[in-house]
Parts: sequence; C-alpha cells; structure tokens
Amino acid sequence: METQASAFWQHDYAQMLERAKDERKFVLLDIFNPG
Amino acid sequence: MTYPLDLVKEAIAAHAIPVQIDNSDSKNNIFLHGIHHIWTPDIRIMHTDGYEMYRWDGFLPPFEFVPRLQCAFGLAFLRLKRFDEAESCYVDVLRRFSTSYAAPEAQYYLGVTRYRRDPDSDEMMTQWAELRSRYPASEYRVKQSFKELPE
Repeated sequence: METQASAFWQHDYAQMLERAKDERKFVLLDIFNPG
Repeated sequence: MTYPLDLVKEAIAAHAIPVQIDNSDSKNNIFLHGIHHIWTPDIRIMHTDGYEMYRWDGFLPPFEFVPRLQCAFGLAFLRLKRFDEAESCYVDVLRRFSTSYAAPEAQYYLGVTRYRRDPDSDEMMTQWAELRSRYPASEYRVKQSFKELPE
C-alpha cells in the first residue's frame, strides 16, 4: 500500500542480509500489497 | 502516510536496511509462504542469521510507527545482549513518545534490559513500579503483576 520509488527501499532480501552483516544492522522487511 | 516522513526514514535507517516485498507479485510466493505471511503491512525485523527478532502487522501512523519500531529494535538488541543499544531505544520511546501505544512495552523492557545487564541492579523493580504508575491499564502492567501478589 505504501511504496516509494526511491533508493530508500531495497528489494533483494538475501543480498541485503549480507549487507546488513557488513553494516552490523538488521533488515526491516515490509511486505506490502500495492492494491 | 507513514514512510515519506524523514522522522520515519531516519528511525528505520539508524538500525536497519529497509527491504520491501510486494505480496501481489507471484515471484515472491515461495518466500512469502515460507515465512507464513498472511496480512499487510507485515513488518519484521530480521537478524542477519535469518531469525525474526520482532514483528507486527497493520498500518501505524508515524507517531505510533516510530515508537513501535524503537521497541522492535530494542528487543532485537536485547536478544543479542547489546544492552546499551537496547536501553537507548527504550529510553527514546519514553522520552519522545510517552503517550504512544508502544510506551508501556518500552517501560517494561527497559527494566528487563537493565536487569539483564546488571542483575544486582534494582532497575527492573524501579521501571516496573514506574510502569504501574504511568500505564496501569496496559497489558505490560499485567505481565509484571506477579510482583504485585502478596508473598
């Protein structure tokens, strides 16, 4: 429902898990429906 | 809406990489089935080992979203025994969002965090007393109510 066409949101979960390790962060998953 | 606000984006980016997944896109079906997704928005804080540290469903406006998110990060840090970072999240909720729905949870877990960092501290009982005083009708008051029973 709330999507943003910005660089803020990523879409490759597996890749972001790896990045999160490097940055010592978590991954916030937002599963949404565009309808 | 919630996400366009800088307040929200800054809170997310402070401790997490934001990933959006469209549940109407069939290429996501296997993944969504695997994590038992059922409703949107479905917000999860994931550790890098794939463990789900916190979750909630449903829309929250910005001034409820941010304190809920801070509680989510707080518990995620607490699970990792990163007590100082957990404490910062909970204190932030109580300072900036003391009337939010998430605030009683922050008060409860602030006590847990300080107790787990220093078991000799009386901080758990101090924070839970504050919880009883500030949020007497909350579920988190009930969660500590065994401490209100006579010995």
